Amino acid sequence: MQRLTVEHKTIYRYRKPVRFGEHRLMLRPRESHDLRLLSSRLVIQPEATVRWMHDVFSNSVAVAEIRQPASELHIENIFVLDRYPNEDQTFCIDPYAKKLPFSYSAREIPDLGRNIERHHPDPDRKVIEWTRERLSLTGDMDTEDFLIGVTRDIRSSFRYEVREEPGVQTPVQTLELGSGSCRDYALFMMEAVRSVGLAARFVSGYLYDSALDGLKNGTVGAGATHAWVQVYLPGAGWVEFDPTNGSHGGSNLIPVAVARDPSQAMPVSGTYDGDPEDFLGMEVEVEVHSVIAPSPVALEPERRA
Amino acid sequence: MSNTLLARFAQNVFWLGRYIERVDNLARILDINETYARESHGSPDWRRVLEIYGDTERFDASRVQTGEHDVLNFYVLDTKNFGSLVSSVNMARENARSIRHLISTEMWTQLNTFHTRVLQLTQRDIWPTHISRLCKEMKEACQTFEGVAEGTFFRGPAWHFYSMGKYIERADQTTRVLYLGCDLLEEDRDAVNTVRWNALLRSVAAYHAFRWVRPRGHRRGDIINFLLHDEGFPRSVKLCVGSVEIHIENLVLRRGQPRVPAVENACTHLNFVLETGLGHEISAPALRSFLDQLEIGLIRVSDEIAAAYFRMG
Amino acid sequence: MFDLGITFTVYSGENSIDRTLPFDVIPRVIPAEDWHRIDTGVRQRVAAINLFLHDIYHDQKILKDGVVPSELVLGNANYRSEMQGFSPQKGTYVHICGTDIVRDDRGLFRVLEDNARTPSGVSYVIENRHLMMRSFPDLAEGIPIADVDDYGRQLAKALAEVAPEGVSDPAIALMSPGVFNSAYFEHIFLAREMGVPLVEGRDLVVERDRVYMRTIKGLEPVHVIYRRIDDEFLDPTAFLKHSALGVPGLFDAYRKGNVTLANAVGTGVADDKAVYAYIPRIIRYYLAEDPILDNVPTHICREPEGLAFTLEHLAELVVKPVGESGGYGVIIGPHASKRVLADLRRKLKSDPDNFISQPIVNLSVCPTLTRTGVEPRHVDLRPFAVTGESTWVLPGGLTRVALRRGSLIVNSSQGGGSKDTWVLV
Repeated sequence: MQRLTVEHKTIYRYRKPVRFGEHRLMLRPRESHDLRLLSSRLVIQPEATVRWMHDVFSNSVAVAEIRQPASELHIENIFVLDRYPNEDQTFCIDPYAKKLPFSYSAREIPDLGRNIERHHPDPDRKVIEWTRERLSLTGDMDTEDFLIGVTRDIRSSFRYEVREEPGVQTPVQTLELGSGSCRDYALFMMEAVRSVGLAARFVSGYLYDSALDGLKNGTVGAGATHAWVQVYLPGAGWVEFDPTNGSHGGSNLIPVAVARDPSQAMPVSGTYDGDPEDFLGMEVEVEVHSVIAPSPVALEPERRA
Repeated sequence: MSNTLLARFAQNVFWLGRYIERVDNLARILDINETYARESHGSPDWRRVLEIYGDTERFDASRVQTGEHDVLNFYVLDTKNFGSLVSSVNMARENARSIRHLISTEMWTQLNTFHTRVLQLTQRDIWPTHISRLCKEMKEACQTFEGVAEGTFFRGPAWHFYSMGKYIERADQTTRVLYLGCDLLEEDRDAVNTVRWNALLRSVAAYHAFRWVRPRGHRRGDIINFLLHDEGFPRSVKLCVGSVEIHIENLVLRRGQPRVPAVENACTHLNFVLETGLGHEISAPALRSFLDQLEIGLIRVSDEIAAAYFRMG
Repeated sequence: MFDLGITFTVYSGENSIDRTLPFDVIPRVIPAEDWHRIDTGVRQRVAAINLFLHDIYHDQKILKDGVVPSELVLGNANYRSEMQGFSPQKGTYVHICGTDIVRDDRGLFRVLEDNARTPSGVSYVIENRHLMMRSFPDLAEGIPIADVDDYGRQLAKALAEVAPEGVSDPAIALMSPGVFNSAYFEHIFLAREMGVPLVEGRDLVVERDRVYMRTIKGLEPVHVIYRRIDDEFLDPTAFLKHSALGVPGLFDAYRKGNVTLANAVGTGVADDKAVYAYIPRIIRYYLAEDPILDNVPTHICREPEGLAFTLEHLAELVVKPVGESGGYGVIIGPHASKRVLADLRRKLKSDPDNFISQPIVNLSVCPTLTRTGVEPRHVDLRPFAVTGESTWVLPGGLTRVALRRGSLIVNSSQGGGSKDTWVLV
């Protein structure tokens, strides 16, 4: 078990005070058998009325009505959570799904259908060709090997770039540019595995990197929100694959939102009343720290922002 | 009660869909062959049609027996050839007769009229000066039937089986025509190639569609990919297989039909082969082997549908 | 009509000819009071026939009381001893009955024949009406004509009423011998009108004495079968052994009460031409009423007086063999040659039980459109009675017309035609 704290700050700056429209925030981690939220705080400046809802995927969404105009919008989210990762990397995939191609079971198809469909055109079949080559390298059409291979290959053959601007490159663009952000990598992987009949979905959230953590009270590097992929494998369920880091299993990943398409899982989205030139820029800061969990005798206070 | 479809009727309506589609495609091929596939001395090379349908051996054997050497007669009037226009229309009507009560009055009327007309065909209708007109008439009769079906056939289980038959046959046809592409790939005289590639496109009504998608030139692999994968082209193998799957889905989701894993597996497998079976560099041997796999996949889908739905009890 | 595929396949010949039943555009009109008589008369007759059938397959009181000769019933080829002791639902044996009625020269309606096995022709009744209304929509304007479109619904309702006990939503099927049967168009038509599946023997299977249909979903239960197949072909294990039309085990399922057959097995005794002669007595026996519709006077050759009368007046009578259906084998005395009559005389003497004779009924005529203009042609009428718990008669029925001048043979299988029948309300 790991106890982690996450601080996520987003700052929007404007040339002059502007009025804000409704803002949609997907910042609260998805709690489940492997993640327990211990405390959470959302601070918005200027003041906002916040209501919570569940979107179509049951992600927690905070809908904020920002009450006053301002030239800076600060959104700060701090939470502490316990993460129980599934250390066992051997997937318990059902026998019929161990080799490609396989059909999902009758009960699962209606709900998976849309996640198998490709969403982005590939007229010259470039993405398919890339996938095909990976497939031909997979011995015996083993599903697990194929997916792990794809995850690693994306990491090694593309150049990672941090892109702050909203929006995602199409898979074809990512392939042609040979580079992309974690969101672009995730989308590319989704479309690649979908082309061989696998159900995949997009996940946005946070990454805990112990190398960036340093000591308990040490300095931390600037982080960003992270994006990766979940693939549905009968028997094992939704399994995380992180093409940015070439890893799978998700032991260091904190999922916030799952979606069929990246456009549905933006951490922060909203509008302002004004001209495009009024927008000066946006800053994002993410810090994820590990915390020693209190033993029966509490030795350390929990970190607070 | 109306949701209960007898296994026998499902089979009848499936084959009705296949036979009408077969007639449509055959008329199309004959017409294109007549216009575009000419030998060096100018007359149509009818043996190409035999190649498309894999009938060369059968035809030559029957020729020895009957002394008949007219491929056109074989494909239009010969009642002993189960693949001829006359035979196929006959079979379509026979199948329709058993399910007379399931199809609309208009469908039955139109098919009867078509059948009566086909019974009246003579040698005169396949004269060189008349064959094109005949093919046009046959095509239009099939298209009319399909149009009437589209507009009047109740979207119950029978409709779905009819559609499955139609799309499987259509996918099969496109695959057969693509075998011609194998020969073209082996030649490298581009001037001749263009004409014959165009003829190939026309034989599945793809010429204009392809030009629309690729207005400024293309590589030869593009035509093959277009006919296989383009989801806008009505006769692409991908679209046809996808349509079969949609109808199977509808049977399950809307008609309370239990799922049959064997059928779904056959479709998944075929899709997988279709997507991943052919690489970027398309060579004649690779294409030929790939098309063989498609054919096998299509037969498997058809067989699994038959096993699942037509032989109950 | 050929385009529509309405046909009546003529039996003769190797290749089945799909021949459209000729349709005459001049309707036959029946005033309300006439119809009332026919309606009540048919219902009375059907009630008596059902009681008769129940009796002869149980206590046989009518035979013991000597009203009908025992050997005529028990020795009848259509009597099914397998039906003894079995009681169909609601006591209904004849669910669908076609009663052939003629009008004699005094204007009286008389029953010529009962059809209690697999009566056909109702599809023409409804299609003729549609044809008339499409072709001459203004002709019936202002005229109150009874509707005939309800038949399918009434029949389905009646059959549901006689489903096996305890079945809440009975599944009904129409069982046909298949596309080569002369009345196949009607089978399709009825199946559609009733909204029930059209099945052949090969689509049904009996498991543990219950009947199922082979569908795309697997085996689905069937509770009531409207069967257009003769008794002998219903079940190869019970009856004619080499029949491929039937369903093995069907009769067992039937006797165990798990499926209702309409019409019941063994109803042929009631529409037998010899038994026909006794129907008026049968009506009186069970209902203590005089028949509303009388028979055509009939001489039963099995009875000595009947045979004697027939032989004496052979040249003036219509002689009918008891077994055939459809007008075949009927000799019309005044139209027959000396040689035919001599041959008939011999047959009568050697096998009198097989014949009945009737005077020629000068059938009523109806204006009919012929090549030479509107001329009178002989007609008869076949109303259809549907019985579940109670009897409902389709208003009108099939008017058959003998298209050849002077001909009295109206049967479709011998080249007759039909007219739309208008019952005025």
